[in-house]
Amino acid sequence: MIAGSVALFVLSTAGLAQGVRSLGMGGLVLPGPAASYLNPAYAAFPSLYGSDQGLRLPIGLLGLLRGEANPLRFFYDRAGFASPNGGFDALTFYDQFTHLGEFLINPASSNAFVNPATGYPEINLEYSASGVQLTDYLGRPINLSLSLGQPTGVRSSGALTPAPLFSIPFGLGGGFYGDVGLFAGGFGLGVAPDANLRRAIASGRLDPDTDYALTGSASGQAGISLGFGFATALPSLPIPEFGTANIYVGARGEAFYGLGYFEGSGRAIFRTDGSGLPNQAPQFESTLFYSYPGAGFGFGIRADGGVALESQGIAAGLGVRNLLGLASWSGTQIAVARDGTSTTSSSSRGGPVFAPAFFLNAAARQALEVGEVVYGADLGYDGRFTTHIGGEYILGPGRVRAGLGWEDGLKFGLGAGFSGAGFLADAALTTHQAPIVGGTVFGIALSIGFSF
Amino acid sequence: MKKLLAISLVALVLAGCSAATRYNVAVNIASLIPEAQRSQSFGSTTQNLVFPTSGSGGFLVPLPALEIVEGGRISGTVRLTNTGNTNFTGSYAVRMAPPGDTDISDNQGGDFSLDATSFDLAPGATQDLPINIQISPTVNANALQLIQRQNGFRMALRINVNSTGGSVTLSAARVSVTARPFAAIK
Repeated sequence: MIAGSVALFVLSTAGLAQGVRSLGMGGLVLPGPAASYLNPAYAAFPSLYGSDQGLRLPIGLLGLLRGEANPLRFFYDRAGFASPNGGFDALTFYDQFTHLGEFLINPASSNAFVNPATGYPEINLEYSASGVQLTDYLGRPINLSLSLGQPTGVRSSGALTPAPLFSIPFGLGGGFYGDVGLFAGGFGLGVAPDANLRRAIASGRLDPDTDYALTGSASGQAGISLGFGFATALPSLPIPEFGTANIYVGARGEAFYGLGYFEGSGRAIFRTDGSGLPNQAPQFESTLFYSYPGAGFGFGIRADGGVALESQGIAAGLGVRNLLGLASWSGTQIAVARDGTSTTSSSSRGGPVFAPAFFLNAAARQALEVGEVVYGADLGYDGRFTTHIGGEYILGPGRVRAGLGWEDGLKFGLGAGFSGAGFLADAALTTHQAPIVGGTVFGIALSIGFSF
Repeated sequence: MKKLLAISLVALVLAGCSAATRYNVAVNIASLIPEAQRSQSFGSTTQNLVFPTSGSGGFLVPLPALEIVEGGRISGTVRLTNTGNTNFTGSYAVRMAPPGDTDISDNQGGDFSLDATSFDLAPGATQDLPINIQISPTVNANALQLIQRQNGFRMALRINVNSTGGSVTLSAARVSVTARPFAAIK
């Protein structure tokens, strides 16, 4: 099970589902058949703005060969792994491992905490009568809250499964179509102080006989989806002084069979004594729920709908996923109490019937004196807001792209591509926010494709 | 399972940790001792004073045993005031002891002295004496071993007083240790 989970985690964090062309435009998703997962009306929509066709390469694996990002050194070079000079850096490893689809140029590093006076990273913890402080060498508070990935458990998202890693569509005629896909995602890791600890950090004060806890949580799910949809063009609508608008509508139903689901959380609890000192060893409590075929059962069904308009090369669409849904996972729950006693029981997880996700996007294509340009914007909500704006300049087989986006932080993309006869290649320079230490991390993504 | 989850959680918390990262853990001892136990006035006397004055066991510093401690520092300030009509003389030293030792200045049960320094104050004078003791594998190694191997340790300031009147105040006291988590990997 663990090996399977790791494989799915790698697949999903590789972000191979998101194309390099899109990354080059800051993450923008353009209207078209490739976006029919987000808006079923696009299944009947013409491919006006091109699409991502190449296979994204997991070049982040190269980044894991760096000494500070390579955990395997623990097994063959333990002294080097633990060496204060050039040894392993957990933060660098984490950043690269969760971005296997990119080679990170400046991965997050604990070097951000280096004290120039001593030459090594320092984290300071100070107890006094007025409380506890966790700071860097300059006395700046270190943020204990961090979250990575986007946890989408069934309890919040219901039957809205993560975007498929790949999906194989097949036409059924008369506007009907089907698709079979594999999804793995909803992976999230989070660490957050509880209310007491948050207050203690803010006020710098610890109260006597009080629990202070740091909570870590993780989630993920995987399964096989079977979709069945219908999309069609409605009669054209004349718009005075503009022309005619083509209208597309679509609906899609999806059922999934669960391959795996887990939700885990752990709490490290520090209890203060009568004088307000945290002078006891921390205690731990944790809960893990898991389900996979043979040790549980997961299934779900949901309905999506969408509409799109196109006129004179300008298009816009609105898709709503999970208008109605039903999902359930049954499996095993292991709870470990503070005193170390462990309880294993059968348990199940379900979610809300109505937990819709919205996706609105628009684009235009315009011929220039030399070449042409495609540009657009999108806005999405699936428990969090995302937005992107970007464009592509096309000259013969060459492509140049740029864009900006917001996905839990600002990101931008620059890209270039070649689309020749039988061969296409794309490259993108993309960014994300470094976990824990903050700042912008740059990464390079590549994809190649062949057409016959 | 419990161990695995605990390790995972700690690994997350230490996600900002590399093989070079040092954690500096400091305890502001003076702030944790009531002011009345950090100060004492006296008339004509020759005696040993122990701070905090609450008992003979000193102050229990609540640090868990950490094999990964590389070193540390004890720092502070002792304020002496001579209100007598002769010179106020004596010496002061930091005492350390294992957590179970209830008399920190009898040289039994594991207690020991660090850095004894003598002083001599003229009548009417006030002086701040510094405490600045380094702890490393080569300097005050007995103190490092105590910190590494015991769950908490006791500390006190002992002053040998020879005076015709005055006061002693422990105005600042701090202990800090530097630990490198990756040092646990051998």
